[in-house]
Amino acid sequence: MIGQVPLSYYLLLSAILFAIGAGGVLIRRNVIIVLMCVEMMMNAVNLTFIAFSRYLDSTTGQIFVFMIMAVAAVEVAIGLALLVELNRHKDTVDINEFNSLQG
Amino acid sequence: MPLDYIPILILFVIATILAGVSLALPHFLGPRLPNKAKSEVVESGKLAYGDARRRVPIQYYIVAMLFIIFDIEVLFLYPWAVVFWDLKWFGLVQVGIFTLLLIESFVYVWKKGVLEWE
Amino acid sequence: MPIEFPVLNFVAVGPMLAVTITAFLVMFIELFVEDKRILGYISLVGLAVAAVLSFSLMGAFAAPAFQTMVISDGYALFLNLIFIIAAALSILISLSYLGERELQHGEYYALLLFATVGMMLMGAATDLMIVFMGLEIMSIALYILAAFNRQQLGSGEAGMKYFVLGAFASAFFLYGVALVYGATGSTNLQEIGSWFSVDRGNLGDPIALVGLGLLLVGFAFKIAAVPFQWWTPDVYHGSPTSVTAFMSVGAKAAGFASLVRVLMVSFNEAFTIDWQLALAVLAVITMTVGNIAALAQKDVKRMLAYSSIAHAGYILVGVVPASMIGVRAVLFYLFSYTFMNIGAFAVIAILERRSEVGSSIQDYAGLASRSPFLAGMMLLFMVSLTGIPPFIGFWGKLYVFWAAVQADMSWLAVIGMINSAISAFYYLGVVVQMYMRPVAADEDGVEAPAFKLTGPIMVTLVVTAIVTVVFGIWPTPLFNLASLAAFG
Repeated sequence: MIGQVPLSYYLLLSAILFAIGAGGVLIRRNVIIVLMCVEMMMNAVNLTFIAFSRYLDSTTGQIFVFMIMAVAAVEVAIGLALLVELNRHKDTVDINEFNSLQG
Repeated sequence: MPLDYIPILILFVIATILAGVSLALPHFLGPRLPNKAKSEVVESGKLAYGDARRRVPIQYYIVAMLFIIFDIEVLFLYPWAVVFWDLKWFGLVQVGIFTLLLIESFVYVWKKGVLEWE
Repeated sequence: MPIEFPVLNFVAVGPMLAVTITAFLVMFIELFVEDKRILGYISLVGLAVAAVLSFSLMGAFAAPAFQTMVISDGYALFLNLIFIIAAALSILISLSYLGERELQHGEYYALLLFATVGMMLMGAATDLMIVFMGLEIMSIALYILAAFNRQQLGSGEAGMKYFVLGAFASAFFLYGVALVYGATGSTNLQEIGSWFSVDRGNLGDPIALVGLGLLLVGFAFKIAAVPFQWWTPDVYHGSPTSVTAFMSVGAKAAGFASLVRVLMVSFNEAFTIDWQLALAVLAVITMTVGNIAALAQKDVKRMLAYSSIAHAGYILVGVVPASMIGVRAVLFYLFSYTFMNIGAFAVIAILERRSEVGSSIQDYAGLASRSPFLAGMMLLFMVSLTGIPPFIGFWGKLYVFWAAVQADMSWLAVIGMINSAISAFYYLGVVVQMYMRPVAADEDGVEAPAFKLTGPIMVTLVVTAIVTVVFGIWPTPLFNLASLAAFG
């Protein structure tokens, strides 16, 4: 039987994944990649939840992950829909090109 | 406990060897008879045509988005399925309401004509 | 092993159910009717039912429902009223605003109702899971509503920006929830609270405190507090005005609703020790940044966006003390802000040019001579937003600052008052344009925009104006209601 992986490993891994995702949202300019980075952040959170859920022996974390997965899917769909809609006006996926609103 | 991971390591090694052998053997043993059909792109039996980077109709994206949503919503049925017998009518009614709402969205999508390809 | 069936208590979530069912009905009926305005009226009926249910529940004791996932206490019901009123008033604006722009689609009303349900859930949630669900139901509906004007690039951009930054903030919020869950072993607000009180050593638990910090980031985004306010001007500017009116009020109130509940129920002491000063500084920066940026705006919609950032700062002043008086003040402020702000946006909705994004301040020049009624309305809302007595906005500010003084944070109140004085410059700038400048033609020589007053939008104007004035002169009943609603 393989021994337990310590909780801190999971937390560290998910913190790293979350940071990569957050960095990606801030740095990348392609909207689709930004969407993927947001997904990555959400899944890092999922990992944290599952790790804690196992560690605390409570199911709340797992149920929360269900919710997050459903919401994440909806968010992706909405994001793509908005992008398709924007594409009718402007043929680009570069987030910096969407700058018509200025004060 | 690094020792505990040894089975995984062994699995990796076996997989690598197996993959290497099965790639190497035909390379040395098999006959080479190149022809035009063999060098074409494999499209599961269909003939490849056009450029892979051509534009995809917008309906494709819409169907993809709808698929993502409806696909993920079904996820909530799994926990219910696990405790289906214990929940009895209570669970059935709850899931019935849930499914009803899903069906309403489906009817909405259908009536709006989103599923029409042309 | 037999499962113990939970007690659901559907009565306690009656108002939410009413709005949800109406939303689904609207979606369904939309498929079969030609004139989509009828859907707006159906939505109004649904909201009225929800309001009646909220009122009837108000006398009853606080009833938890769905295994303490939500609660229907005075606080939640008072907020329900705010959300219902905000939704109803924006529907009234939409009925004429959308029609003029050929945007009259049934989905609009369904989405608006779903957003309202999300807000109500946030107000009633006693579990971080439900806070999250409410947050997402509200936000996702608002993302689409912001992008609703398909003819304009600006509207799509507003939706996209709101979406990307909103999803980003949601992820931070979730990470906060995950850490709090890991530290305390629960997502229930009450249980988190008791975890802190079991052992005083828990108060300094680093994971829980980082979690709280990340939760605050998520909330700060929704209420548009600095440094998470960048999205506000663009989103408010690009969205259809009826949507801007709704989200500037509703989303902010919902964010504050669950922020206050989370702080009061779960983190009371942990918050006071470690995060109070940080939030106080945030409040100061928020109102200052909002007010100073608003001074430079030439577009009224953008100006009100920055002013809404400033108002988030004022309301934060009431949150910082984490006291009963503070909660009362916040509730009162949110209620008053709903009417003043939606009223102001109703005027903007009337005057906005059809083909353009936003509403230039030049279009307001000489309004007093063209339509004394509209100019008078705008004057009223601007004065009330500034916080000049005897209008409702004055009392909101007074109570909020009073809460800070009571908590020995007079400096916060002083900075707030200085900020109110700054805000007078841009609010009254609009008034100066309306009353002291001649009617101006824009660059292309086009005369000031034509406008027409239609029934529904008139109702909005009159209702908001009456409430602004009446409760401004006689705020006691409203304050008593807010006091009943504040929990302790």
